[in-house]
Amino acid sequence: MTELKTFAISRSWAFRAGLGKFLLGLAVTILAAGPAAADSGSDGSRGAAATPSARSESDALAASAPATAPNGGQIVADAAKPKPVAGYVRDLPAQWSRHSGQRWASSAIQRAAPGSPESSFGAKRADGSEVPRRIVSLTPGVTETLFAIGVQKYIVGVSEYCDYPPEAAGIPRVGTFLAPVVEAVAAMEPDLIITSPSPGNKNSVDALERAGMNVAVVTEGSASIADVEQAIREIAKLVGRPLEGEAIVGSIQSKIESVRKRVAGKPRPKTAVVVGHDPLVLAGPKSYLGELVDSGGGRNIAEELGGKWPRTSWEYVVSAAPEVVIDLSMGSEADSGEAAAMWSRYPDVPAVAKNRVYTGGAFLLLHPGPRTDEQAVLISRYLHPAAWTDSD
Amino acid sequence: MDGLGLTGGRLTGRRWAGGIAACSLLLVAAMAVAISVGSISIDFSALGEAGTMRTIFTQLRLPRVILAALVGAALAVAGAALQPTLRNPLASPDIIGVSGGAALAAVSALAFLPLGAFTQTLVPLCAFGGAIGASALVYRLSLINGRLEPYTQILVGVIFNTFAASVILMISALVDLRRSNSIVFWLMGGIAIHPYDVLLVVALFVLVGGALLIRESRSLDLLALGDETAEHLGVDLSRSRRRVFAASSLLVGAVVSLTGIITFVGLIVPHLVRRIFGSDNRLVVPASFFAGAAFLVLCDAAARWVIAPRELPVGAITAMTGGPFFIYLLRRRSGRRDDL
Repeated sequence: MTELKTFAISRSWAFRAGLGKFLLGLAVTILAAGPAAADSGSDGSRGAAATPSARSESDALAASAPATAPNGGQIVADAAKPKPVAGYVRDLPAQWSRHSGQRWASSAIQRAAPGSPESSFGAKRADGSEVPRRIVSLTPGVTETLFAIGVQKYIVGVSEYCDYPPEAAGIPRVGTFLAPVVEAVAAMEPDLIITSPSPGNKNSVDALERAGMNVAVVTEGSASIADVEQAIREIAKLVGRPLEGEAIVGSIQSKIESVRKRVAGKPRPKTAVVVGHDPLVLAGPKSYLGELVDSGGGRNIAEELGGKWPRTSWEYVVSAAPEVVIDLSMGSEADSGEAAAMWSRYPDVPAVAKNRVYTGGAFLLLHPGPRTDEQAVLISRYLHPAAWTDSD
Repeated sequence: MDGLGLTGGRLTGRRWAGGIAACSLLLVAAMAVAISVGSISIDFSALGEAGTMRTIFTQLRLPRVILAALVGAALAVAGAALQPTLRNPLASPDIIGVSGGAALAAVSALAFLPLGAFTQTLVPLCAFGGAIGASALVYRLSLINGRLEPYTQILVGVIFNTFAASVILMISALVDLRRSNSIVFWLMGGIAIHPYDVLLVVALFVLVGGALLIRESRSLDLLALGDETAEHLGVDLSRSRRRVFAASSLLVGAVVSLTGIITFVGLIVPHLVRRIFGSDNRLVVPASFFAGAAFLVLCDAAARWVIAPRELPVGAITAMTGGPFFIYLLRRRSGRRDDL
């Protein structure tokens, strides 16, 4: 009798414990879906991002940057010396791919100093401290910014998700933004590690600092445009190119202003920017995407929900009757058909009825960073196709 | 009652010493393996002089291996002591509420305290407080007429954990994405790199708590004979259960507040040890201490190494090895229940 009872209880215990674990696991899965969607970006789909706009202002600035480098030669020699990369860290391919990225190829250093020692660009900052020559970037935004600034040749390690510009694919991977592989980072012997604050990487950042590494945690440039700009400025300063940073920020601001002017006075379509389906997450008014909807001439249906990335229900979205839907939940163009099929279930939504559900922009739009100007144009094209021509 | 199954024959001093020696050797071997594998292959000849290799070894790899050993030891020894105390082969340290309480307190801290570095350092303390508070609550709720009733305790523990999980689910649904991210990271748990002074504090908890449980292991054997028999043989049941309960919650609370929830170690290691050494708790409890440390050190090494340079969550490894074993035990247990 006692045995039976014991056994019955232990069985029900197992069931309940299993249930508890299941619930906990469920919570983790649900919660992880959000950041994962934003984090993973996409692989290979170029979306509408393939219009390289020459950033001539910044190039010009870089070319005229002050040239004081008493120690330059030695530092350059250091940087040029191939470092032993032990263990499993992926080796650099013999050559970085060249098929794209004219914009990056034309960046300051390569254009101004082909073959000549780049010491003319200053190996010291204004305050006399040396500028970093072995940089590890742990976020896609930082990597993209370093390329835009023109210091890509000093990047010795990037995160798994650093997929833009395409040349970044050739740089050794040292884990992800949230889970950097600290040993691999340290093995690169970096003189600067740049990342953004996150609860996920806090412990690794602390460990790297304890190990004597120079870790810079810059503003998380993924929330608002002001944050994006702040992050660009901070990164530019860290690598000793503050003017470059200002130039990029200036070009973002002037582009957003010109987009705003172009659509001024036009009727503002109700717009939904969907970041994730499960859970359903919209771009709120305080996120960079929300701000770009505003400057691009749209009315964000998430205005009432507020915040940066509000979660909501399908009922809310359908009843808000958006005239334009920008669905970024699939991350890549290959899967964007799925998102389109999903929307076809709601034929009454004006955006669906008028065939204005855009699903291909994730690769550009989910990469907050120096391409905010391109994002502003793309979103405005979605909202006001008539205001833009192909030559824009 | 069938009670004490002496699968391995009588426990002699020699068998005891042999078992402990084998498990500690296993731990030493596991640690040797763990410090030599990772995303970077360390050149041990370069450790003599200061440099990147030495930094990686002393600051990034060794602390992690040490923490894995401490956590594994704590979870396994607590599981080994709780299973006979609660007379349930499926009892694991979670069942006394520590994990649920730690998770609930950590999640609340992450959800409601101001964001920032200070909160990040506060979270483990909150988690520890939550662990101790929750286990005290579960203990109190499991008392019937002033005595700890094992079946009640198991049910209270399970219900508390489910309750904590649902509150966590609710909190995470209400907070913004940034905060819910930090909650996810806490819940995922894992062996991270902590400074040596933190490791020292955890080591104190683990060694003291482990010693208390090992000291209690003799009464655990008698407990397995059933309450009445044990009392006839002179065991103060309530005191013994209380001690196991208190030592386990301190021990497990200290480690889960740093690592989050790591499943299965506390459940399967004691059972593995019983399969090998028989069911005498005087051997099972201390042997689980060393074997648990070795098991988690190996799991963590695998987590770091399998898809290097990327890492797997250690919980995935423990659960993947633990899951099938759990099923196996369930299947086997339905026929006989002998060796607690």
